[in-house]
Amino acid sequence: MSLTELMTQIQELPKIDKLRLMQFLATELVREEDQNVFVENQEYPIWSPYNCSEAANVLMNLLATKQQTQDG
Amino acid sequence: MVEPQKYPYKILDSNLGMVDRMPYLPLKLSLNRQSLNTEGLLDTGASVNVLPYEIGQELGLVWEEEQLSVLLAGNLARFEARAVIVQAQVASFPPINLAFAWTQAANVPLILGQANFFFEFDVCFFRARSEFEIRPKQAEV
Repeated sequence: MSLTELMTQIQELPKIDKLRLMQFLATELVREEDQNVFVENQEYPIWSPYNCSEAANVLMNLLATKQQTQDG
Repeated sequence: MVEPQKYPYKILDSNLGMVDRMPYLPLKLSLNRQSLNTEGLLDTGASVNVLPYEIGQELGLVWEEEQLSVLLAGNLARFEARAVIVQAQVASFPPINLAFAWTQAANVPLILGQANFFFEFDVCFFRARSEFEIRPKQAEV
């Protein structure tokens, strides 16, 4: 069935069924979107070194020392 | 006022039928007489910059000579890392010193994180149109 034929039939539906159809399509779109984002058993590595304030302090101190050497 | 430089998001591997885009910034790294052109992932969730092992080697760094250890979190936690400083140039902006956690992990992206990349540059992301703009930090008025 073509989309044009389908739309003609949809136009004949009562209002409540049109609303149900909208809900169905919205759910379908979300489901397809989710499938696009994540694939089962696929590995998604997260490399971000999050919340490493101690490491950040070490780096910033090293930078300050380097800056002093360059300025001096 | 310095005009920002605009870059497109980089299109990544789409072998799963997906088109993924991430903000990778082209930059030139230099250390002593060595220099190379590479790209870094702009990662606002990363506390520090991360230098992949192989890029450190290409810049002439020697692991045994770098004594300052740093502890990383996440997937990188199980790898040793050392603190190093490398000069970096973005676009035609003046070169700056970037401090990196040089990791022994292989096949990791070069990460540009809060310390100290985001202390040095103002970055604006426009994800909906897959672009970002960058310029050196502006002096406080």
